[in-house]
Amino acid sequence: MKKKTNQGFSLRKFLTALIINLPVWLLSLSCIFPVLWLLYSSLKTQQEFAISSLSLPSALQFSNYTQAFATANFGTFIINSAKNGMFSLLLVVFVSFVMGYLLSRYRFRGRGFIYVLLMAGIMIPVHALMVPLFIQFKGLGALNQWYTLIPVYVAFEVPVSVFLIDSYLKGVSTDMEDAASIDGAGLLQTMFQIIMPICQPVLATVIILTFMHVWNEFPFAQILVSSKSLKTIPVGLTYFTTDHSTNYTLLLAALAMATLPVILIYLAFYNKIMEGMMAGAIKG
Amino acid sequence: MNIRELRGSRQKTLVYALVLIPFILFLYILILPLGTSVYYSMCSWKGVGEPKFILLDNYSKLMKDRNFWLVVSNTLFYSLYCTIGQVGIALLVSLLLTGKTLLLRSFHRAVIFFPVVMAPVVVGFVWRIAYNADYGFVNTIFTALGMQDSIRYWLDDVNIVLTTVSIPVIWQYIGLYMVILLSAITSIPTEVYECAELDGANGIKRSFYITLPMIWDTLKIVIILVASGTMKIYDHIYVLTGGGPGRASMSMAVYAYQNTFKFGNFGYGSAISVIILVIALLIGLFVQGLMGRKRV
Repeated sequence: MKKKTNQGFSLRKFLTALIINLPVWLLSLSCIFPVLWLLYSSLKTQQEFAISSLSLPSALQFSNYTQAFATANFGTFIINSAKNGMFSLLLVVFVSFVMGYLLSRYRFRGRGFIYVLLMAGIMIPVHALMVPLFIQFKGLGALNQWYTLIPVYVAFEVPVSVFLIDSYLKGVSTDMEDAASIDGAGLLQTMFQIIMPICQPVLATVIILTFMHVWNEFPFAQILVSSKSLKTIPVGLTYFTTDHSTNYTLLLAALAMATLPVILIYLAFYNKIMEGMMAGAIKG
Repeated sequence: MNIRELRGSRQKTLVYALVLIPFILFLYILILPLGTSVYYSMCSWKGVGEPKFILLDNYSKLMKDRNFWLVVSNTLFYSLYCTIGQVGIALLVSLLLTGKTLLLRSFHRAVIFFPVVMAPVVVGFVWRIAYNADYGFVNTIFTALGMQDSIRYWLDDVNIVLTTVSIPVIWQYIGLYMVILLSAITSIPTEVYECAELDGANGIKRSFYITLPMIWDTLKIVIILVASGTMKIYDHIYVLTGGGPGRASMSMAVYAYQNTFKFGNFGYGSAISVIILVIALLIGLFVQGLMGRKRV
């Protein structure tokens, strides 16, 4: 009798575990499968892909990758994305660190106003700014230049980065700074030689988030820059369907190349990304 | 408070210079366009020559524009669908993830979060190929499961295209909201659960009577984020369908793009942009009002 209830109990336990584990597994698989599919399909030949889109490649074909560079200008798109990314990163780190530090540590007239507007900037749905920003840039003659996208990306990333740095600095005591100023260190020296190293963890988060956003950004890169030699990867991808409409494996190789850096960074900095995305989630 | 004093006017000038230069850039790119779009929404402008001031003509034209109402209803549909899908699934999964019976918790968390960091354009393309009638694996999977009847022209069927376009968007961002909700759930003190367990509350009861009320504020923020965030849905639609067939899957952001950059009606496009901002704001207030009162 006792044995029987025990068995029933463990069956129930097993079923509960199944009910809990199964849907989560389904979701997990659905999240990872398209990514794996993208990676292995990009190594197939067009014929293989046409016969079955799910099967594994019979041999690893890197010809799609070389072709993406040779015929579809993928190299140019990569260079443009890298250039935009690098300049935006340097500026975002510098600007948001300086602003974050000064706004967090010092009280001066206008500080509250600046802070409130910056935080409001986090909430603005930037896609609604496509048309007016285009008009403003057109008026300035700043459309379609090598630098066009950089100030835009910096302005988009600075509010949330300042927020992250400011929250981080709230937990750092002023002892070191006070000691430094007694030793005669100036404001700039204190800021860059003492505080910046302390802020390394949060600056790493800022760098990773900015890189991800800039690398993936599409609408503004699409409208503010029109000449093909200045386009970034996400915009370049849209040419694959117009210029090489039926070559899916070529497109897949390009998609894989756009995604690989993101995968590598994700694997390396998983915790940082999580932490930053959560704090920056309000940016949406 | 960790506050320091500014010493001397030289330091003051330095601080102002360092803060104000980037702040002016920020104002120009993020704040000024709000004004610019309101101004140009009251103009007729083809992109060249002097903009002609026409007050509210663009808006009254919008009110009579059938396509505009179609894209508004599409966008609201996306917003509703994504809110239910993303928040619903994210909430369910995060409750399951905090339960004791789930195995490989951090694996699931890492995997479900991954699509969040992918480019929306890439996600759009992957799903576009997946939905493809000839090559797509969606139909292959349905065939393998013996569900041939469910096979459709996923992106060409006017009746289902809103749903098929929503799925990749929902899929991509479940992880983000899951992680936000998870952090709220894990910050609930464990004593509360221990007491409930002593009182004999089971997992489902604990979720309903403890977890849900305790994370209500976070849930509210998440719903506002999704509902008003979906107003700006653009990349996925542009890549998946371009807004088609016809305008059956077009969102307001794509319609603003089309009017401005394809048809050259900058004033009309600006008016649509203004309405996107207004609706996003209204949705935020609406959710706030709706959920604020229900607070347990």
